[in-house]
Amino acid sequence: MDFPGFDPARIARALALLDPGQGDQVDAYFERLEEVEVQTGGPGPGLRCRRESGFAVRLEKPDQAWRVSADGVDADQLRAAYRRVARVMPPTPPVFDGIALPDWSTAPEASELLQFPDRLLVALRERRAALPLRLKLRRHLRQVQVIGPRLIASAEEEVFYSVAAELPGGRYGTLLADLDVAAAGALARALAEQFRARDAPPPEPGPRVLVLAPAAAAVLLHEVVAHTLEADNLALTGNPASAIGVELGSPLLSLLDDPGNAPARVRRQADDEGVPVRRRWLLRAGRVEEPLADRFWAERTGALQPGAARRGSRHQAPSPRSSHLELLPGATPAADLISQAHGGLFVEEFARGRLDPLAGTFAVEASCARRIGTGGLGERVGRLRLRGRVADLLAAVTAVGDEGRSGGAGWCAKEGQRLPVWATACGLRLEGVEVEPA
Amino acid sequence: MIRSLPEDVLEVIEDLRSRGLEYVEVFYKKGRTRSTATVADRHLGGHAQEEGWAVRAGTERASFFTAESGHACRAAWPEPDGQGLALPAPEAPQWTPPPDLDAPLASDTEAVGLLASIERALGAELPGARLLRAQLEDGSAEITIASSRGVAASYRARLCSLRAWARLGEHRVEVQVAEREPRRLDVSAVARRLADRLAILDRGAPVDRDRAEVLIGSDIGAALLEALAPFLIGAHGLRILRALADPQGRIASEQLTLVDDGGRRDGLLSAPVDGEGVPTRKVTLIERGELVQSLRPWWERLDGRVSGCSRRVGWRDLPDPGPSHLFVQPDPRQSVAGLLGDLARGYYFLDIEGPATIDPEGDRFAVPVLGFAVVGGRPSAPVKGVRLHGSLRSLLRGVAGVGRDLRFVPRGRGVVGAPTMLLSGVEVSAGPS
Repeated sequence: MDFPGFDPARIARALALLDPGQGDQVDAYFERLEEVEVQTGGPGPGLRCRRESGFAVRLEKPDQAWRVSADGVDADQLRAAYRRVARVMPPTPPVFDGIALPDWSTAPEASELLQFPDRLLVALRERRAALPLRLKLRRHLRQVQVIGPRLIASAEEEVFYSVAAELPGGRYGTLLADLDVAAAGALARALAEQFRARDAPPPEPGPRVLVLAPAAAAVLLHEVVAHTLEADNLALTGNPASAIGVELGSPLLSLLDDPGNAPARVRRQADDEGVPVRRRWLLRAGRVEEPLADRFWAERTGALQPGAARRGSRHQAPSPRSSHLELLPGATPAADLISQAHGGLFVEEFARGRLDPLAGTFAVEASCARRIGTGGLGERVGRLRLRGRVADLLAAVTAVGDEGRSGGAGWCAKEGQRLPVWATACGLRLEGVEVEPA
Repeated sequence: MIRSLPEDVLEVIEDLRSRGLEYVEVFYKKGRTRSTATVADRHLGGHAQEEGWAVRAGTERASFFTAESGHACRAAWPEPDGQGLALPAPEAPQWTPPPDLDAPLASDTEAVGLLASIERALGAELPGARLLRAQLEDGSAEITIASSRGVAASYRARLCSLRAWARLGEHRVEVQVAEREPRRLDVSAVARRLADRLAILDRGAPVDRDRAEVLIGSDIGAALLEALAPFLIGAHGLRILRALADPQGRIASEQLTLVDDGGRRDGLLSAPVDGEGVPTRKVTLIERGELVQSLRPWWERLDGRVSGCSRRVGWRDLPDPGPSHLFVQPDPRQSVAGLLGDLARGYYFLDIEGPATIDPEGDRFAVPVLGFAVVGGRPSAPVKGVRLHGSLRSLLRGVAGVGRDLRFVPRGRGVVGAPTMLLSGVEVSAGPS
């Protein structure tokens, strides 16, 4: 599928005139974005809509690269971008006349956004939670098409929702694939939990048994495995391909990145370089099998496969990133994860995290957690942080739950490129993990 | 500075007014940025042309916000919803454009040369250190804002930022500096700062809990100001800060004067008007320790005072109150060497190791830092893995000296400036904040 009225073949012919050499990459990236937002409980306009379209053309050689990007798509802009990237105009300049992306012709429609706050209110009442709340709800639409001189990927579309809530005790944010009753229920539960823990004391520092719910496991694995195995991060300390075969974590951990198996409306067939995505084993039984790579790192190392390139927008360069992590289920029933963790902490979600790829260290923070007692989940504790070395943390995994749950793993903002990340994860139990108040 | 507005802007205003929307505002921004980066042995060149507009329109009862890329200011307008809208009346700004707005963007050759010289200088400063990545972004922009109330302003802006990441062993540091144009960037100073920080991380060690006089560099002062900034806005912020004041209304030492000035002529974000078309001006927030006022957007004016402080980074953003050039007033008589020389025993902290946190209601602050222990006015040993913390009152009242080396750094949505400052009464402890 192409954008309606768009002629990718002409773009492809023009790119072929750039005569890329062996190992050079040339492509054009076209993008349409729409973000419709409603806010409750705050000042300002009720309905907010941002719409944009634009493109980027790039030529990458082993030691140099040029990228030209623009807002809007018309023949003059394409010609100017082409000239800048080509450095020298070919004898027969390509014709771009008539090439344009579809206009945004209709007013934004946001009925599902406008209905969701009421749905959430009902779900909060069912949980007997009455809390002052400011809610920012957004629907994100992203359409991209990447065109190379020989390969024209189909246009791809992602639609998803994000929620940012301000409540006593802090902020809460999440990504949602749908705005249905189940999403309202899950959001209400998370908000009520954070609200009820607002005055809870933080846990005492020290090593603990931790049980992570699937949502918390998703964030942790994104920070400590996916970022660690991005080829550009691996290159900070050596050849990215040399990570292959390294025993990075517990043999209980098998983790994939599979953008083709993400929630239906964000599923991808090709990445942001137009390369078909792959079901990529990051860890198989704790051992690194295939780091995340884009075309540049695949070409440079000769040992990695492309297909994991993502870009925050046309104005930013693609780089290797995960899209949808999938943790293979283990053998431990979810209830047993908790019943065998007496004295530990149960973390439902992590609010944020970061990795230092050079030092191999990480930190993740949670707004609240629950103590695990003999009878199951007990009193709430306040903000906590896990900090340590990636290898130590992954070796501390002693059980993987037998049930996967799919959902948003949050926004990832590596090097200023803000991207949604998805995951299908199971619960995890870790032992001897250092916990400190945040 | 005030130019005739494009026809389509006026047409949009008239069109929406004819639909019964009394308040209509059009914001338009067009810019271009040339970026150059070196990553390992590669040069990456980029050129971005960005252009878009935003319309806020509504009545006192309901409104909408629509923004779109491109230059054609037209859209399928949505129905107003949610909260009402009000817009400021026009006022004539007093502003002189900075002199270097016409400086050309850095050419590829200039940019590559500049980044290569950082690498060379770093190697000379600290053998073994390696530049991981350096990135120069040089851009210019034209901004127009007009409204149905008669606001009509158009101005230009220019900004160049340089970020550099370097490593030594497993230690990595980042330095970011900005100027209005790249020829003003001091490359050797960037290399020196990278080298200083790497050397401290490589050789430094934490210290036991201590209370001593502490000298903090611009980066730490800027991080603390950034954390304080939310409490310098509006009536709410003022109420929170007033709780810290003594009976004379003083919240800080006499050494501390805190100013925000959106029109500052040498400012990186200097502009005649804020994001809603209200003229920018110099606003003294704390004068010689006394809390004077907070930043007041036009719709929260007090005693006729407004600050021109609605920040609007780009066409995708709604205006939001905040500082643009928030800075500690430097003391032109006080050199850094003089402040250091007077320090019998204490610390000279140069940079942060993480974000600063300030909690005025809990009267607390903390910031992880690195630098040197000082004995007899001279650095004696590198120190890392420590945090500077204590009560916010003790921080503000403990400013014992202010240097003349005011330096601005981009932070959040604005820029923040601080000179080197001498603090007494704060604590130094091992461990992260």
